[in-house]
Amino acid sequence: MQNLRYGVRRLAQLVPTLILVTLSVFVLSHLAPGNPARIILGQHAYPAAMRQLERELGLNVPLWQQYLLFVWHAVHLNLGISYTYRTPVGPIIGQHIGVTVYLVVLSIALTFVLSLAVAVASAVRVDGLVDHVVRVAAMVMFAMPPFWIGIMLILLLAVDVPLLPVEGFGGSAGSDLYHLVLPVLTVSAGLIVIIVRPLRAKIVQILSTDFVDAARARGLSPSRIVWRHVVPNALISTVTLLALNLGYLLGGTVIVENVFGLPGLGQLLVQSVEARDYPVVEGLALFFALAVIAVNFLADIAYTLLDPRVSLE
Amino acid sequence: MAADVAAPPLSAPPPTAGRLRIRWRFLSLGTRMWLGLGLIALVLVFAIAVPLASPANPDALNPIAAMLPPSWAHPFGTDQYGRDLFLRAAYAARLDLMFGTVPVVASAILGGTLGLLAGYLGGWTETVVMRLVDVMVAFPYLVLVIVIIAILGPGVNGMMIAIVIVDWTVYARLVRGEVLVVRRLDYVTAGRLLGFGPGRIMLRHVLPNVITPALVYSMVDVVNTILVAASLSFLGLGVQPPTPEWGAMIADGQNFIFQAWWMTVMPGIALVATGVGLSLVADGLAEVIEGG
Repeated sequence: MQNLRYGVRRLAQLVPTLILVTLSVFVLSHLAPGNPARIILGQHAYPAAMRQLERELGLNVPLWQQYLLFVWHAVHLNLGISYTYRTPVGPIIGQHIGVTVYLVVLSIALTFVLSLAVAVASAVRVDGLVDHVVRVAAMVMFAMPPFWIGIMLILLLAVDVPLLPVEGFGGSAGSDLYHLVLPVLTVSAGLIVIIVRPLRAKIVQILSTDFVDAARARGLSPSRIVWRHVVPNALISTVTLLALNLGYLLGGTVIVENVFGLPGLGQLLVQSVEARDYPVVEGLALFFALAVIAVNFLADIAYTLLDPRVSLE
Repeated sequence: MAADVAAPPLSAPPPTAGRLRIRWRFLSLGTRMWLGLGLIALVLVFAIAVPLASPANPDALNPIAAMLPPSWAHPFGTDQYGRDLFLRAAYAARLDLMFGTVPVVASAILGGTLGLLAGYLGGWTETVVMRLVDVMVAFPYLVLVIVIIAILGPGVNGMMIAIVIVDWTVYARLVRGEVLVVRRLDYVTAGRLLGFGPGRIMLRHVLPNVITPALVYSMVDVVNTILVAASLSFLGLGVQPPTPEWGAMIADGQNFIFQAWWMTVMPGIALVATGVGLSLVADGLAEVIEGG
């Protein structure tokens, strides 16, 4: 009941953010060069046809009405018509969403497991060998852009020894998974580097708490302390860190999809920018922002459910 | 990181177990700083000296020397047009180092000023600035930069402006957060009682006391911004061919990944060396300043 009330209040707090996000995408759409009606109809359109399309697109009413219309359309998944595909933007985004979701979910899963394992291993023995190796590796990899990590993985695992495919997607589920191995490794590598340092600090802090001391005093074995007392407490931090870095993760997928030729939202975004297909770009901007807002909301809720100590005030 | 010092190892080490308790002296703060400064100096010399020493035009085509592997004559090899990648990487270094400085300085000044005003003046100024920050934060960083580039048009200027439009928000948040603490302190009240105007208090009394976290962050931001600029150029949204830039060179090399590994590896090494050098110094400075 208390959780429910918290959820509703948290949901209400989203309203101003949603208004601002839709408003900013609306402003962006008006800053984009060119008259949409002219771009759709071409340079030699009849003035009458132009006026009719402007009326259909709602370009002849005051700006505030255009904004309300924009929100009304967005709520109904009507995001306008692509300049290059000449079809509605919503379904175009829908066609590209699957690969990206697949990539994001697999990368999060891999990052979750690996960063937790690495952080625990280096936190258990502060200033030990593992700790130092991890610290140096994290710093060197922090300086590696995701696209270069991806290309180096291709060189190592696909060029000399053709173990894995370099690009492409589509086909059976098994082949898709196979095509996603290198992209997932690339996205995860970038994300782990970001997450592992704060996570390690958090675990070091957990290890110095009273309940760990108490467990040690009771004579529990180090591995039992780690698995039963430290890891469950670190899970929450991992979830929080992943949610906080979702924007970084999505940025990474944009790049990685372009490295590996995956037909996801990131590839669509870059192609649409190059083609000056503004309706698609704006639709994607709105979509990405809403995804970030939604995930942060869910993470907040998950946080209160996972950790009973979190105050619901 | 204060936590490093406070934490005892999980299993108390037996007094005789020395094997894993070696102090890793080569990773001490001083070593890391010197290593970082050394790498930065190396990249600077590379960026300044190589173009000066070689009169060749980095964009000039020389089909006879196409795709030669690294050798003494061409330390980084050549690309599909026979252009020397060592020379091109050096010209690229100039551009990439500029990407690491100009947008960062601009973002820091813009964001710092707005954060200072928002934190000290409060009221409408604060609402407007922080709402703007909220909107920007709702979008994934790279996606927002790309969307702004879509409107400004791809290219060096569009990319740098887009980065500043997104990046200032971090500085605004950092500075405002500090100002909220400092403005309640006695010396600010004292300044006000002495009849100093808000401008003087903000610049002479508040700013020097709130600027440190922003400066520490700006060092990390240099690395971030270079990587973002290289990524955007890799995607074809930043530096346009034939101008040499590390990300653009790597994108070019990816087309020949089966024939010429050096076309992707060599510019990448330059990029990573720069990033590691700057990160080492940034981390070291953060440790010194924050007393971690």
